[in-house]
Amino acid sequence: MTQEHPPLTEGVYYILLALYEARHGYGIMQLVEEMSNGRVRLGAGTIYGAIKTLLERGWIVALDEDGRKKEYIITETGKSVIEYEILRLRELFDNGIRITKGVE
Amino acid sequence: MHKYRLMINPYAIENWVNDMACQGWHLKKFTWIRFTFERGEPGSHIYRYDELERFGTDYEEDYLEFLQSSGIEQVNRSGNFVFFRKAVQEGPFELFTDKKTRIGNLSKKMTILLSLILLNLIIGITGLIGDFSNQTADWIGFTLNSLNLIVVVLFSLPLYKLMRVRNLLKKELDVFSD
Repeated sequence: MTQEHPPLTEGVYYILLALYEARHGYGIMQLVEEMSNGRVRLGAGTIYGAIKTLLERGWIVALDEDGRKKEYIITETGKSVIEYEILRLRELFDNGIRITKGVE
Repeated sequence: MHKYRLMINPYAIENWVNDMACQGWHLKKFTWIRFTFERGEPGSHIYRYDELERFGTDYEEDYLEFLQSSGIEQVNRSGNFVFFRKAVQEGPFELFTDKKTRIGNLSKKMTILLSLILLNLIIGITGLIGDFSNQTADWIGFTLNSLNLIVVVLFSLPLYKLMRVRNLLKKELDVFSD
């Protein structure tokens, strides 16, 4: 099977989602925790590493620094990656529900 | 209060620093061997260690500022080693939550330990052979080369422990994505 993009890690998926609005690192951390009802808690070191990688890939960009905290936002390339991932997740979800006949 | 420990396995040191904090002794300053603790409220903070070299010099300031803006307090720094802490009431505190970075960090640590072990093993063994190859044994050389072999023994257990942690993480990656 060829895939346009290999599956994203949970961390990267949520970081990209969080950056549909401009946020700084701590903001990402808080939103991800909130969205996942406290299930996903990303370490600051992990977020920092992921931000560096995503900047290099051009999936996010840094906005002009406003004060001390640097803010980031998702790019068009980043959005297409997320959209592709959602289709992949939907396929996983649909197949799971079809075969297990749904959970409860 | 001062305590002396060799910083061979930083993960073991981190556990020890957290145990001390639970008993009300909070890390203030440290070097690779000497740790200074001050009395404080037992278990009020979680301590984490990190090594900075992987980010290179230009990222260093940026990284430290990033951690600070995330509400993480820098306790003290000694060379590339840094200890951070966060109040317990602010929730769980880990610097790295993804297995890949943790495996990478462990691998780097293991490479350093393994090179030191091999270097000391070679110097120790070739030295010992040399010390006894003459008519009169070189006892100063013997002492020094024995020290090389002590280093080998001293570093081997931490290396083994790090290897076990890394293998466990790698096994989990076979099934879980992160």
